[in-house]
Amino acid sequence: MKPPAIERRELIRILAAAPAAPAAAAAGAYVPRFFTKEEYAKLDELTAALLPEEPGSPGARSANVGFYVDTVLLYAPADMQQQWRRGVASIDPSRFAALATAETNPSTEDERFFGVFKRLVLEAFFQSDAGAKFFGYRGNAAVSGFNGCAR
Amino acid sequence: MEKTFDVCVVGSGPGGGIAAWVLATNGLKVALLEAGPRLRAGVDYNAHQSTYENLEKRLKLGKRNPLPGVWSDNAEKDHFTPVGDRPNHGLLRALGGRSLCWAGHSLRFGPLDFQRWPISYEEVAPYYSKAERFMSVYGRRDGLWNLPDGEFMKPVPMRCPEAQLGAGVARLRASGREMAFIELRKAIPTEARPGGRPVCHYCGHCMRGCEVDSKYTSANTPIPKALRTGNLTLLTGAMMTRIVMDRARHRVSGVEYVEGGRATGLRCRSLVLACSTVETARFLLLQDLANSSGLVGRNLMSHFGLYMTATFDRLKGRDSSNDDGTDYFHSLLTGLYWKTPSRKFEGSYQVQCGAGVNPRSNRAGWAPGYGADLKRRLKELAETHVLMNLQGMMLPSRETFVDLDRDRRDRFGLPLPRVHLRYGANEIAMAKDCVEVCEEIVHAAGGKVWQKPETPSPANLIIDGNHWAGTCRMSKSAKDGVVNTNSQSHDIPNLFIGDASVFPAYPEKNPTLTNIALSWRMSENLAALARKGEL
Repeated sequence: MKPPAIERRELIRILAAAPAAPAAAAAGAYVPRFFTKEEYAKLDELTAALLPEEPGSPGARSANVGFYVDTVLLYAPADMQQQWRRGVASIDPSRFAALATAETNPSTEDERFFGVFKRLVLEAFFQSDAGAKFFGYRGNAAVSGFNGCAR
Repeated sequence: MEKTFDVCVVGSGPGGGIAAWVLATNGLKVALLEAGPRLRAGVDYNAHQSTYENLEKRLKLGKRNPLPGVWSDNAEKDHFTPVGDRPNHGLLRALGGRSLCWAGHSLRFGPLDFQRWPISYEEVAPYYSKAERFMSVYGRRDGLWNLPDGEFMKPVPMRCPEAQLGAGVARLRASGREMAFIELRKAIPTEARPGGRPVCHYCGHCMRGCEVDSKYTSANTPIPKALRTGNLTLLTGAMMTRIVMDRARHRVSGVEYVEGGRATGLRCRSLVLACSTVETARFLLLQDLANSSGLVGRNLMSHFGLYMTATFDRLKGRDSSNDDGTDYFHSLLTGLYWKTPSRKFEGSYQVQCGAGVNPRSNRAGWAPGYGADLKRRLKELAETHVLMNLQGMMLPSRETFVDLDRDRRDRFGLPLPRVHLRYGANEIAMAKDCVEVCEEIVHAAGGKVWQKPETPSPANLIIDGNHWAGTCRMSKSAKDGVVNTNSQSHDIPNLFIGDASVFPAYPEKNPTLTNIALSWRMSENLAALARKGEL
């Protein structure tokens, strides 16, 4: 037996309330509000080195991770903002290999910041449409049944 | 003080919601007091929304969690003063209470579990059946003696990594080990029923609040049904501030409450407290009521846990495009130490298992490195991981209780509760055993352990903030507990308790179904007393 039509309509209404990323967040159009232009360019370079674009596999730039990070920091507490300003200026893609070796046990400020940076950039990537595409994820949707491993 | 009700129910969570419905259908005039507002499914919470679209709006409201969630957005985190090991807790004041943000896990306690209760499994079983039918619980009939089967809709299957873990359990069982690996049972309809809630659409947002009201909550099932009887008066935004006793203090005569900043009250012939384990104890302690045993607030119990992840290389590249289902955990490791108790610790634990790629909630976690290599590892981890979540019971002790914080008051001027919880040697021993057993299963299943706590300790264990129980324990005699076997106060004959605070002992299993079954049973007994004119 199918559920009553009113419920289907309600479902469609609710799912339709989940629009795509806004125009302001479209790639390239975003003007940073927390970072300076120069800092934002550096952030972009760092995020692209962490999650590069590859053929058929989107990275941080397609996800518009910069918009997400800049917006989170705009509303962040002062100590977090300062850590990011210092950190973005201090680390560099050429040092990622060395910083990554200390990931599980960071001791310097840069090593700690690398972890902080990576966590927020991954969060931003995972929340994005590009991130969903990267994972091949087609969820967050209404489906009529669930077959688990059997599908 | 004007109107007189047959019953006043305080709190609209799992226990209060069902009490309101059972009492109203038995013809009693019921007032239901809920301190919070009504949150509208799909309007006040909707986890389907785009995170990027809502990021700034949410940050402006001080909400750092990128995903909207009924719990993360509405819980009052500073309501409790923690003493000892900190639980991850808050108070959700809203119609439906914490039934809004539960995952729906509906597990019966079994005959073994009731051995430590003054009532038997057989006495509660009919109420489990009623509750399961009323709530629309799905599950498979697994035939486990201490996790009895119920009235189930068709089950929801596991994803591949969970099934793979289950193959490891099957191998250990074949060599004589006591354990079972089953599909979880949840209060989410998988089949359409006339007048029922919408069938699940498997988006996986259950715990963040079901935006189409498939998942059972007090707000979407018993309360609307109770309102249709015409016997329920629902008061939202109504915070009880005092229980009014008659002059001799033998009986409740009403409650005082604040509604929209205005102090008012109502009269009632009986009172059901269903404010949650901590809040019910707090209200009784505030007035030193129903406490001739001295046990109000004592015997606080909870569940605690830890997380481990494992990976199965053979699952690389599997179809993981939509593993959302009914939230993250679809499977359960259970049946441990029921027949043969552990020599290392008392009690049992269960392990809720989940898998699947859902980048928005990203349970697969972190991978090392950077660049193209990091991306490859993240994808593999998402596809191949299974997460194991220990749920063990914390033994009650003299160090686990609720009392009043005389230094902190709420906006109504009432002292806030302090929650005393502390891990003991039993919990640490149980956690170590769980890590060992899960490792054995992972290896038997041909997988690799990816993340685990090196040495379980209070630093890496997590106290469950939703599973508290036990501050008004049920007992046969008045000196051993707060309520009798009908959840009625030993001291005050027209005071009843409808939440998990009445649990005298706690197994490893999730509390809500038992809370609802007991509240149902209590409400029928209350209605019978009312019919006999004994209230």
